[in-house]
Amino acid sequence: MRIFTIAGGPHKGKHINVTRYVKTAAGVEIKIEHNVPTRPGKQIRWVQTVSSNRGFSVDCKMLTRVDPFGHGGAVNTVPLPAVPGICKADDLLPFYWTAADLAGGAGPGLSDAPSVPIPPSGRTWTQFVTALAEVTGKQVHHLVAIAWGYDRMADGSVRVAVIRTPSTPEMRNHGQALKRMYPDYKYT
Amino acid sequence: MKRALIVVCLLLTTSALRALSAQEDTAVSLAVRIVPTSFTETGNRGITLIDPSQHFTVVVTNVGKDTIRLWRESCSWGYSNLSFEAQDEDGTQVMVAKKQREWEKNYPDWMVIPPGDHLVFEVTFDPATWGHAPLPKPGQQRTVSLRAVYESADSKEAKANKVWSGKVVSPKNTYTLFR
Repeated sequence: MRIFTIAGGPHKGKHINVTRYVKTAAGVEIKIEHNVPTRPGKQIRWVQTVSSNRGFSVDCKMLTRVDPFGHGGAVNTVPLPAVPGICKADDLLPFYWTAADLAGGAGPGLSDAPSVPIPPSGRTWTQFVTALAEVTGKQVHHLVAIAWGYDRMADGSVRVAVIRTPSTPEMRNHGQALKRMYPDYKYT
Repeated sequence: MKRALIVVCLLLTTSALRALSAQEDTAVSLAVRIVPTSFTETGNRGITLIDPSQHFTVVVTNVGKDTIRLWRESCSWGYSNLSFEAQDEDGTQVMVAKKQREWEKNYPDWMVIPPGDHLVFEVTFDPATWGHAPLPKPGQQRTVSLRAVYESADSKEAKANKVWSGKVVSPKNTYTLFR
Protein backbone atom coordinates (compact mmCIF):
# COMPACT_ATOMS: atom_id res chain seq x y z
CA MET A 1 0.00 0.00 0.00
CA ARG A 2 2.68 2.49 1.09
CA ILE A 3 6.33 1.68 1.39
CA PHE A 4 8.87 3.66 3.42
CA THR A 5 12.45 2.74 2.73
CA ILE A 6 15.41 2.80 5.11
CA ALA A 7 17.72 5.51 3.83
CA GLY A 8 21.12 4.39 5.14
CA GLY A 9 23.16 2.02 7.26
CA PRO A 10 23.40 -1.75 7.02
CA HIS A 11 19.66 -2.08 6.30
CA LYS A 12 19.64 0.52 3.51
CA GLY A 13 17.01 -0.31 0.91
CA LYS A 14 14.94 -2.49 3.24
CA HIS A 15 11.52 -1.09 4.05
CA ILE A 16 8.34 -1.02 6.08
CA ASN A 17 5.09 -1.51 4.21
CA VAL A 18 1.73 -0.18 5.40
CA THR A 19 -0.49 -3.00 4.20
CA ARG A 20 -3.73 -1.76 5.75
CA TYR A 21 -4.88 1.72 6.68
CA VAL A 22 -8.63 2.07 6.90
CA LYS A 23 -11.17 4.12 8.74
CA THR A 24 -13.21 2.32 11.41
CA ALA A 25 -16.39 3.40 13.20
CA ALA A 26 -14.48 5.34 15.86
CA GLY A 27 -10.90 5.54 14.61
CA VAL A 28 -8.52 3.89 12.22
CA GLU A 29 -6.91 0.50 11.68
CA ILE A 30 -3.32 0.12 10.55
CA LYS A 31 -1.12 -2.84 9.75
CA ILE A 32 2.57 -2.51 8.93
CA GLU A 33 4.99 -5.20 7.80
CA HIS A 34 8.75 -5.01 7.36
CA ASN A 35 11.46 -6.95 5.57
CA VAL A 36 14.38 -6.07 7.84
CA PRO A 37 16.42 -9.11 8.89
CA THR A 38 17.54 -9.62 12.47
CA ARG A 39 21.34 -9.44 12.85
CA PRO A 40 23.15 -11.49 15.51
CA GLY A 41 22.98 -9.83 18.95
CA LYS A 42 20.31 -7.39 17.84
CA GLN A 43 16.53 -7.24 17.82
CA ILE A 44 14.14 -5.53 15.45
CA ARG A 45 11.39 -3.83 17.48
CA TRP A 46 8.57 -1.36 16.90
CA VAL A 47 8.46 1.85 18.90
CA GLN A 48 5.34 4.00 18.84
CA THR A 49 4.45 7.33 20.41
CA VAL A 50 1.05 9.00 20.44
CA SER A 51 -0.06 12.61 20.85
CA SER A 52 -3.56 13.96 21.29
CA ASN A 53 -5.45 17.06 22.35
CA ARG A 54 -7.70 15.06 24.72
CA GLY A 55 -7.95 11.90 26.77
CA PHE A 56 -4.78 10.33 28.12
CA SER A 57 -2.60 13.19 26.84
CA VAL A 58 -4.54 15.51 29.17
CA ASP A 59 -5.00 13.02 32.03
CA CYS A 60 -1.31 12.05 32.00
CA LYS A 61 -0.23 15.67 31.45
CA MET A 62 1.94 14.53 28.52
CA LEU A 63 1.14 15.62 25.00
CA THR A 64 3.30 12.86 23.56
CA ARG A 65 3.53 9.46 25.24
CA VAL A 66 5.10 6.13 24.42
CA ASP A 67 2.13 3.96 23.46
CA PRO A 68 0.44 2.65 25.56
CA PHE A 69 0.36 4.99 28.54
CA GLY A 70 -2.97 5.79 30.17
CA HIS A 71 -5.22 4.66 32.96
CA GLY A 72 -8.04 2.20 33.56
CA GLY A 73 -8.71 -1.11 31.94
CA ALA A 74 -6.49 -4.11 31.56
CA VAL A 75 -3.88 -2.44 29.32
CA ASN A 76 -2.50 0.23 31.61
CA THR A 77 -1.27 -1.82 34.53
CA VAL A 78 2.46 -1.16 34.95
CA PRO A 79 3.59 2.04 36.72
CA LEU A 80 6.70 3.63 35.26
CA PRO A 81 9.26 4.72 37.87
CA ALA A 82 10.21 7.73 35.73
CA VAL A 83 6.64 9.00 35.36
CA PRO A 84 4.68 8.88 38.63
CA GLY A 85 0.97 9.59 38.59
CA ILE A 86 -2.25 7.88 37.59
CA CYS A 87 -1.03 6.75 34.16
CA LYS A 88 0.56 3.38 33.56
CA ALA A 89 2.18 1.46 30.73
CA ASP A 90 1.86 -2.21 29.77
CA ASP A 91 5.45 -3.15 30.66
CA LEU A 92 8.81 -1.61 31.57
CA LEU A 93 10.22 -1.56 28.04
CA PRO A 94 9.81 1.17 25.41
CA PHE A 95 8.64 -1.19 22.67
CA TYR A 96 5.17 -1.57 21.21
CA TRP A 97 4.91 -5.33 21.62
CA THR A 98 5.52 -6.68 25.10
CA ALA A 99 7.28 -10.00 25.59
CA ALA A 100 3.86 -11.50 26.44
CA ASP A 101 2.36 -10.09 23.21
CA LEU A 102 5.18 -11.62 21.17
CA ALA A 103 4.87 -14.94 22.99
CA GLY A 104 1.15 -14.87 22.21
CA GLY A 105 1.81 -14.57 18.49
CA ALA A 106 1.90 -10.80 17.95
CA GLY A 107 4.45 -9.36 15.53
CA PRO A 108 6.70 -9.27 13.60
CA GLY A 109 4.51 -6.62 11.95
CA LEU A 110 2.65 -3.92 13.80
CA SER A 111 -1.11 -3.93 14.17
CA ASP A 112 -3.14 -1.20 15.81
CA ALA A 113 -6.77 -0.10 15.85
CA PRO A 114 -6.99 3.06 17.96
CA SER A 115 -10.30 4.76 18.61
CA VAL A 116 -11.78 7.49 20.78
CA PRO A 117 -15.31 8.33 21.96
CA ILE A 118 -17.17 11.14 20.21
CA PRO A 119 -15.95 14.47 21.61
CA PRO A 120 -18.54 16.82 23.13
CA SER A 121 -17.48 19.55 20.71
CA GLY A 122 -14.88 20.27 18.07
CA ARG A 123 -12.60 17.36 17.34
CA THR A 124 -10.24 14.96 19.07
CA TRP A 125 -7.05 14.63 17.08
CA THR A 126 -4.73 11.70 17.62
CA GLN A 127 -1.39 11.47 15.90
CA PHE A 128 1.08 8.58 16.03
CA VAL A 129 4.75 8.24 15.19
CA THR A 130 5.60 4.62 14.53
CA ALA A 131 9.20 3.59 14.06
CA LEU A 132 11.04 0.39 13.33
CA ALA A 133 14.20 0.21 15.41
CA GLU A 134 17.21 -2.03 15.74
CA VAL A 135 17.90 -2.70 19.40
CA THR A 136 21.31 -3.61 20.77
CA GLY A 137 21.16 -4.01 24.53
CA LYS A 138 19.87 -0.64 25.74
CA GLN A 139 20.59 1.14 22.46
CA VAL A 140 17.50 1.79 20.33
CA HIS A 141 18.48 2.87 16.82
CA HIS A 142 15.62 4.14 14.65
CA LEU A 143 15.68 2.79 11.11
CA VAL A 144 12.57 4.35 9.60
CA ALA A 145 9.47 6.10 10.94
CA ILE A 146 6.04 7.13 9.76
CA ALA A 147 3.39 9.55 11.06
CA TRP A 148 -0.30 8.73 10.87
CA GLY A 149 -3.50 9.35 12.81
CA TYR A 150 -7.08 10.51 12.69
CA ASP A 151 -9.57 13.06 13.90
CA ARG A 152 -12.85 12.17 15.61
CA MET A 153 -15.42 14.87 15.05
CA ALA A 154 -18.30 15.95 17.29
CA ASP A 155 -20.77 14.57 14.75
CA GLY A 156 -19.16 11.13 15.20
CA SER A 157 -17.36 11.07 11.89
CA VAL A 158 -13.73 10.04 11.51
CA ARG A 159 -11.16 11.79 9.32
CA VAL A 160 -8.10 9.74 8.60
CA ALA A 161 -4.78 11.59 8.31
CA VAL A 162 -2.41 10.92 5.48
CA ILE A 163 0.52 8.61 6.21
CA ARG A 164 3.78 10.49 5.87
CA THR A 165 7.33 10.81 7.08
CA PRO A 166 7.33 12.57 10.49
CA SER A 167 8.49 16.17 10.70
CA THR A 168 11.58 17.12 12.70
CA PRO A 169 9.49 18.49 15.64
CA GLU A 170 7.45 15.27 15.66
CA MET A 171 10.60 13.15 15.81
CA ARG A 172 11.94 15.42 18.56
CA ASN A 173 8.75 14.91 20.61
CA HIS A 174 8.93 11.18 19.92
CA GLY A 175 12.52 11.02 21.17
CA GLN A 176 11.82 13.18 24.21
CA ALA A 177 8.89 10.97 25.25
CA LEU A 178 11.05 7.87 24.97
CA LYS A 179 13.85 9.45 27.02
CA ARG A 180 11.49 10.73 29.71
CA MET A 181 9.51 7.50 30.12
CA TYR A 182 12.29 4.94 29.62
CA PRO A 183 15.50 6.79 30.59
CA ASP A 184 17.57 3.60 30.88
CA TYR A 185 17.70 3.35 27.09
CA LYS A 186 19.68 5.41 24.59
CA TYR A 187 17.86 6.48 21.44
CA THR A 188 19.31 7.41 18.08
CA MET B 1 -38.20 -37.84 -9.80
CA LYS B 2 -40.09 -38.52 -6.58
CA ARG B 3 -37.09 -40.47 -5.21
CA ALA B 4 -34.74 -37.60 -6.09
CA LEU B 5 -37.00 -35.14 -4.25
CA ILE B 6 -36.98 -37.35 -1.17
CA VAL B 7 -33.15 -37.52 -1.24
CA VAL B 8 -32.91 -33.72 -1.54
CA CYS B 9 -35.34 -33.29 1.36
CA LEU B 10 -33.33 -35.73 3.49
CA LEU B 11 -30.06 -33.93 2.69
CA LEU B 12 -31.58 -30.53 3.54
CA THR B 13 -32.99 -31.87 6.81
CA THR B 14 -29.63 -33.43 7.75
CA SER B 15 -27.67 -30.23 7.06
CA ALA B 16 -30.26 -28.15 8.93
CA LEU B 17 -29.96 -30.48 11.93
CA ARG B 18 -26.17 -30.26 11.75
CA ALA B 19 -26.34 -26.44 11.68
CA LEU B 20 -28.73 -26.43 14.64
CA SER B 21 -26.48 -28.81 16.53
CA ALA B 22 -23.43 -26.59 15.90
CA GLN B 23 -25.39 -23.55 17.08
CA GLU B 24 -26.40 -25.36 20.26
CA ASP B 25 -22.80 -26.44 20.88
CA THR B 26 -21.66 -22.83 20.55
CA ALA B 27 -24.45 -21.67 22.83
CA VAL B 28 -23.65 -24.09 25.66
CA SER B 29 -19.86 -24.08 25.45
CA LEU B 30 -19.56 -21.33 28.09
CA ALA B 31 -20.95 -20.79 31.55
CA VAL B 32 -20.70 -17.58 33.54
CA ARG B 33 -20.94 -17.10 37.31
CA ILE B 34 -20.60 -14.22 39.73
CA VAL B 35 -18.38 -15.01 42.72
CA PRO B 36 -19.15 -12.60 45.57
CA THR B 37 -16.60 -11.55 48.15
CA SER B 38 -18.48 -13.34 50.95
CA PHE B 39 -21.28 -15.80 51.72
CA THR B 40 -23.24 -16.24 54.93
CA GLU B 41 -24.40 -19.52 56.45
CA THR B 42 -27.95 -18.50 55.52
CA GLY B 43 -27.04 -18.23 51.87
CA ASN B 44 -26.72 -14.44 51.55
CA ARG B 45 -24.12 -13.13 49.15
CA GLY B 46 -22.03 -10.08 49.91
CA ILE B 47 -19.89 -7.85 47.69
CA THR B 48 -17.55 -5.56 49.60
CA LEU B 49 -16.15 -2.68 47.58
CA ILE B 50 -15.04 -0.30 50.32
CA ASP B 51 -11.53 0.24 49.01
CA PRO B 52 -10.98 0.97 45.28
CA SER B 53 -8.60 -1.98 45.15
CA GLN B 54 -11.38 -4.40 46.17
CA HIS B 55 -13.20 -6.42 43.57
CA PHE B 56 -15.54 -9.31 43.10
CA THR B 57 -15.04 -11.94 40.45
CA VAL B 58 -16.88 -13.15 37.41
CA VAL B 59 -15.76 -16.52 36.10
CA VAL B 60 -16.42 -17.55 32.53
CA THR B 61 -15.90 -21.30 32.17
CA ASN B 62 -15.42 -23.38 29.05
CA VAL B 63 -17.94 -26.16 29.67
CA GLY B 64 -17.57 -27.55 26.17
CA LYS B 65 -15.38 -30.37 24.92
CA ASP B 66 -13.11 -28.24 22.77
CA THR B 67 -10.59 -25.51 23.48
CA ILE B 68 -12.04 -22.12 22.68
CA ARG B 69 -10.67 -18.63 22.22
CA LEU B 70 -12.06 -15.63 24.09
CA TRP B 71 -11.12 -12.00 23.61
CA ARG B 72 -8.96 -10.52 26.31
CA GLU B 73 -10.30 -7.52 28.23
CA SER B 74 -7.22 -5.58 27.12
CA CYS B 75 -8.47 -5.10 23.57
CA SER B 76 -11.56 -3.34 22.28
CA TRP B 77 -13.04 -6.64 21.03
CA GLY B 78 -13.16 -7.98 24.58
CA TYR B 79 -13.29 -4.89 26.75
CA SER B 80 -17.08 -4.52 26.90
CA ASN B 81 -18.05 -8.18 26.67
CA LEU B 82 -18.94 -8.45 30.33
CA SER B 83 -21.97 -6.53 31.56
CA PHE B 84 -24.60 -6.94 34.27
CA GLU B 85 -28.33 -6.74 34.60
CA ALA B 86 -29.01 -5.15 37.97
CA GLN B 87 -32.40 -4.91 39.66
CA ASP B 88 -33.12 -2.90 42.79
CA GLU B 89 -35.48 -4.04 45.52
CA ASP B 90 -38.13 -1.70 44.08
CA GLY B 91 -37.89 -3.48 40.72
CA THR B 92 -35.90 -0.80 38.91
CA GLN B 93 -33.65 -2.47 36.34
CA VAL B 94 -30.45 -1.09 34.81
CA MET B 95 -27.77 -2.42 32.49
CA VAL B 96 -24.35 -2.03 34.06
CA ALA B 97 -21.80 -1.80 31.28
CA LYS B 98 -18.35 -0.40 30.76
CA LYS B 99 -18.13 3.16 29.53
CA GLN B 100 -16.57 3.91 26.17
CA ARG B 101 -12.87 4.58 26.41
CA GLU B 102 -10.06 5.63 24.14
CA TRP B 103 -7.84 2.99 22.60
CA GLU B 104 -4.29 3.76 21.61
CA LYS B 105 -2.62 0.34 21.52
CA ASN B 106 -5.35 -2.01 20.39
CA TYR B 107 -5.06 -5.24 18.48
CA PRO B 108 -7.15 -8.44 18.35
CA ASP B 109 -5.87 -10.32 21.40
CA TRP B 110 -7.44 -13.53 22.61
CA MET B 111 -6.88 -16.09 25.32
CA VAL B 112 -7.05 -19.82 24.75
CA ILE B 113 -9.39 -21.52 27.25
CA PRO B 114 -9.07 -25.31 27.45
CA PRO B 115 -12.15 -27.38 28.39
CA GLY B 116 -12.96 -26.91 32.06
CA ASP B 117 -10.79 -23.81 32.36
CA HIS B 118 -11.72 -20.20 32.94
CA LEU B 119 -11.50 -16.58 31.94
CA VAL B 120 -11.64 -14.54 35.13
CA PHE B 121 -12.78 -10.94 35.45
CA GLU B 122 -12.03 -8.82 38.50
CA VAL B 123 -14.86 -6.30 38.77
CA THR B 124 -14.49 -3.15 40.87
CA PHE B 125 -17.59 -1.27 39.69
CA ASP B 126 -15.31 1.77 39.59
CA PRO B 127 -17.63 4.55 38.35
CA ALA B 128 -14.82 5.83 36.11
CA THR B 129 -15.01 2.55 34.21
CA TRP B 130 -18.57 1.28 34.73
CA GLY B 131 -21.75 3.05 33.75
CA HIS B 132 -24.81 2.67 36.04
CA ALA B 133 -22.77 0.75 38.63
CA PRO B 134 -25.16 -0.11 41.49
CA LEU B 135 -22.79 1.14 44.18
CA PRO B 136 -24.22 2.32 47.48
CA LYS B 137 -22.99 5.62 48.90
CA PRO B 138 -19.74 5.32 50.89
CA GLY B 139 -20.41 3.77 54.29
CA GLN B 140 -23.75 2.33 53.20
CA GLN B 141 -25.08 -0.91 51.75
CA ARG B 142 -27.46 -1.75 48.94
CA THR B 143 -29.27 -4.95 48.00
CA VAL B 144 -29.56 -5.73 44.29
CA SER B 145 -30.26 -8.69 42.08
CA LEU B 146 -27.39 -9.20 39.68
CA ARG B 147 -26.96 -11.29 36.59
CA ALA B 148 -23.71 -11.28 34.64
CA VAL B 149 -23.91 -11.25 30.86
CA TYR B 150 -20.96 -12.34 28.75
CA GLU B 151 -21.52 -11.46 25.12
CA SER B 152 -18.93 -11.60 22.37
CA ALA B 153 -19.96 -10.07 19.08
CA ASP B 154 -19.55 -11.87 15.81
CA SER B 155 -17.07 -9.77 13.84
CA LYS B 156 -14.66 -10.21 10.98
CA GLU B 157 -11.84 -10.37 13.54
CA ALA B 158 -13.71 -13.05 15.51
CA LYS B 159 -14.18 -15.07 12.35
CA ALA B 160 -10.60 -14.57 11.17
CA ASN B 161 -9.13 -15.59 14.52
CA LYS B 162 -11.74 -18.24 15.39
CA VAL B 163 -12.75 -16.44 18.57
CA TRP B 164 -15.97 -17.56 20.25
CA SER B 165 -19.01 -15.41 19.69
CA GLY B 166 -22.39 -15.64 21.40
CA LYS B 167 -24.07 -14.74 24.66
CA VAL B 168 -24.30 -16.46 28.01
CA VAL B 169 -25.80 -15.24 31.26
CA SER B 170 -25.24 -16.21 34.88
CA PRO B 171 -27.94 -17.23 37.34
CA LYS B 172 -29.69 -14.21 38.84
CA ASN B 173 -28.98 -13.86 42.55
CA THR B 174 -29.41 -11.25 45.24
CA TYR B 175 -26.28 -9.55 46.57
CA THR B 176 -25.69 -7.02 49.30
CA LEU B 177 -23.15 -4.46 48.19
CA PHE B 178 -21.09 -2.79 50.93
CA ARG B 179 -19.12 0.37 50.39
